[in-house]
Amino acid sequence: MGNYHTIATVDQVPSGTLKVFRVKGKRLAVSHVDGSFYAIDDVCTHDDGPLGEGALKGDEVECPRHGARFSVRTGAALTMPAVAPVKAYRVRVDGTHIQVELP
Amino acid sequence: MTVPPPTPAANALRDDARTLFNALPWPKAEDEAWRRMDLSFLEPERFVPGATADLTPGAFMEGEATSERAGEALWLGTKIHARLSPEAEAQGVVFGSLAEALSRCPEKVLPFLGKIVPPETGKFAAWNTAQWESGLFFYVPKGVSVALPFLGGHGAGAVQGRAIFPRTLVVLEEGAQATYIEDYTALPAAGENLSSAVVEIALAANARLHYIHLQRWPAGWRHFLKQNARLDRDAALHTLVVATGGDFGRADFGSDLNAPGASARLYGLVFGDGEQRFTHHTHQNHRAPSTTSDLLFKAALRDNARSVYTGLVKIAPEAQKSNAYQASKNILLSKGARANAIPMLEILADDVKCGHGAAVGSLDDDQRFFLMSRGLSREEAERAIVEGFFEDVLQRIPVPGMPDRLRAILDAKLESRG
Amino acid sequence: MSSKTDLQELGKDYQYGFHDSTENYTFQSGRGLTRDIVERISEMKKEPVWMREFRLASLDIFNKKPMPTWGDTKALGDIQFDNIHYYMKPTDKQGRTWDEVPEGIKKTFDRLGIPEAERKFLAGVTAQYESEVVYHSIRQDLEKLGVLFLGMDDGLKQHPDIVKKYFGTIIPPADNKFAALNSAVWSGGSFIYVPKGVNVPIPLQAYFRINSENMGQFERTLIIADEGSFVHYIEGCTAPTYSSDSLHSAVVELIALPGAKIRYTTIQNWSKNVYNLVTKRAVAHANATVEWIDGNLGSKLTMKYPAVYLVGEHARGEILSVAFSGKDQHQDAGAKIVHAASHTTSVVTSKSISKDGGRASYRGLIKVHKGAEGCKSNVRCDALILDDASRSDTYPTMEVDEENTSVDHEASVSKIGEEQLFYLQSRGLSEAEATLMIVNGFFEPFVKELPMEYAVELNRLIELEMEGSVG
Repeated sequence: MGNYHTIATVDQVPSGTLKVFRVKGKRLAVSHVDGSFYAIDDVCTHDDGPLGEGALKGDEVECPRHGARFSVRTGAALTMPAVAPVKAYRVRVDGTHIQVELP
Repeated sequence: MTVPPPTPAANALRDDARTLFNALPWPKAEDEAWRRMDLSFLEPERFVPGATADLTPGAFMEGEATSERAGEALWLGTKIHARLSPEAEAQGVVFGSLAEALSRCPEKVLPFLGKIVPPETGKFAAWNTAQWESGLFFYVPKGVSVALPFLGGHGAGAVQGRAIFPRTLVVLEEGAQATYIEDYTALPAAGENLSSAVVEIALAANARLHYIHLQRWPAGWRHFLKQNARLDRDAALHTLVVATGGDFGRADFGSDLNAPGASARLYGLVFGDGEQRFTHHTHQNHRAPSTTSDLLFKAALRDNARSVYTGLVKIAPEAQKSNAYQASKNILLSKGARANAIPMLEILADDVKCGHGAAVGSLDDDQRFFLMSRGLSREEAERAIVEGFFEDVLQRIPVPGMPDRLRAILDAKLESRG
Repeated sequence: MSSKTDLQELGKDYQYGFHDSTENYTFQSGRGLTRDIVERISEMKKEPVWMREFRLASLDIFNKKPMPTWGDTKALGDIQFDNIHYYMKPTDKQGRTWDEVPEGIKKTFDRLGIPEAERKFLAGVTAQYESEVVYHSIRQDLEKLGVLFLGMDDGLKQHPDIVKKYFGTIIPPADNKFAALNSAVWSGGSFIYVPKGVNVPIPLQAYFRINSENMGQFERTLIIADEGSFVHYIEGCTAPTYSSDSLHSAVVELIALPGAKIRYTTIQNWSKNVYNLVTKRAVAHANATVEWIDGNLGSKLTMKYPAVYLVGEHARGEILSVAFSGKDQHQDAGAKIVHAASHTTSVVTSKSISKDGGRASYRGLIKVHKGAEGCKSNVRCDALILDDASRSDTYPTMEVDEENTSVDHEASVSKIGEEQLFYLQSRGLSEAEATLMIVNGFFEPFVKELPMEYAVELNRLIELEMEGSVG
């Protein structure tokens, strides 16, 4: 079990948006979908490049370079050319702080 | 003895480099050459130039007696500790501070400084050329051959938030022969530091140089190195690079084989553990006929360490009858380790022999089983295999005592955990 | 035209063929690519709404995507997108007279023994080529097995459910600029579905259904091999093929479901005005095998990197790539294998020859994802440069994120060995004969994978190329 670290504040991630933040040496893409917050690694498993510039479509993020889609909730790879999931983190909200669980 | 001020030419080099540095952007992940290195944490400009503390001369290549060397020139941080044997001095060897050499014998330095790794090469090269303070100059005159090795050092004490800019220029005139070992290290300290280094090597016709480059920065250091060697007719360069230190680093090494008969051998040993990230880029530029190059880069990675090896062998149309080989061998020792190997060939001449190979794999299960069945513990067996992995490179170092020194450095790292 | 009626006779599946539905339209595609043209293409083909929307969305992506920053960027920069006809009736395409066909090409046809009717078609003199009746009987056999083998247009019309399930799932339009282009304006290509457990006994060839639309600019091919099935598909031909279209951008998607095997053989010999930029990718599920046999002889620039994604345990990918690059040519080919499941294996063999100033490049990727344990990959690239005007490049990438792996790559570049030449000459062969023998030996691993008639043609073509007498 890890500890929760604050990564952003609630008003930094409005509903329907995805933004990249840094915490403890990692880059995470934080999204706000249907009232909940989610966090995944900001790395497309297809080409190791950043995901954060991709479009958020519902609860999926589309990598801008080759169109691979991932679930922002679970990190699952949904379409080619991605075949491996991206890591997803447990998220909780403490007051106005969005926190992610890190090892 | 006072040191005369730098010449106008030396100042001009710095000024031009400063202008270039200001004009160039920092590399981005989108740039092909930097694609696999995450630079977003670097924020290079938060580091303040200059070391503020020193280490002792003994911290470099500790335990080696000075009688086994022809000289030392060690940047301890804010000052240099230099010694040259009387014999070498009598032969006309110059070995010491680059700034001093620029002032005292600029005619030996200026034809080469900033020409072999021009500041135009990139942001880091320009940064170093504008900022360097701790420079080393190693010069061997025509026909002089020195058997004992020279030791150069670039280091700092326990510093935090500093950027240092080691600069080395090696010039061997026609027929000169020497062995030069360089050690890069600092005292451990909490916090981050940065080193942006440049090494230039010029070998005139028939010159022969053994160059050993040890990178042993402690945790918290980020390391960037641009090294290039220019070889003239029948010149020969043997280089060994050993990289074990720092949090992450990118080191570029290579040779321009500019005249017939030039030959370069480049060996690399990389050992990463913890969260270390190493990127090495090599170049073998064949620009003249009958030139040869041979490269063998070996990396062993443990824990979550990562190594990226990229390299380019280029054979120009006029470099007929050249031979080039390039090999990258990688073993992964833990689940989290990663290796990328991207060896590249661009061949524009036909009467050549050129090849390359790359391999990435885990520890050989059969070998481990064999050793364990002979009474070694699992850890001892794995250590023996990794030592064996590095051995064929270590055996190719014809500098007395060096293979053992390097084995000790690698073993120390193998034994330490975390 | 009588040829159209013959095609209609060939089988009921052809009654909805492209030809009769376009008889009455007055649409004439000008140069350049607009939304209007894409809509008209879909309309003329009477496509379902989802395909029209797919095309339009792809057009948006094509317009937004930048050109690649890698590869032969200089040659790519010469493509004039605004000067291309993105859709033309085959009969409206600019042909040439037999007199205009270069002597070298005619000679090649002679040496390869190409039948008369085919010659005119291949040389760009006629727009149609009448298929053999043998195709008709093969199709009846296939129907008995439940195998679907149709043009892509017909496949979409007659089997929309299968097509919709797989189309664009292996290569999404956003994959790269040229995949987006193809996704917007695709026409022609093959659709193949092989049911569970069916072994298709003879290679299916695009050549069976040859006409201009099958040698089209923007072919789209989709092959699904259901569990445990086997199919071998062959496209292209060894004979030099003239195309008035300078940009060819095809997309090929293969799906090998668990236990299935697909072998896809391509030989392209496009005329030297063609930019041949192809995206070909396969997904192999558990215990499935995909083999790409890829021969590149023609075109001004070919950029093509057949790929196999191994997504199920024990899947296997094999890629055999051969390139011959002559004067003013750049064959930029290679292979991509992604190991995304444990115990998957791959073998890549690449052989290239560059001569007379040609440039042959190998670009490859072997990627092993973390968690894909016990995978093994072997890559071997050999290149021959035959003179000092030519060039050979090798750009392999190995990305290994899993410790329990074995990935090996080796490449060599050289000219023909003097010792070998000397040995053969000492046995009475002339230097030219000895060189040819060595070159044939060099390509032998590829040639032996081809059906007999292709192998024979290819050997003759190599002989011609080495004589330097091909136009």
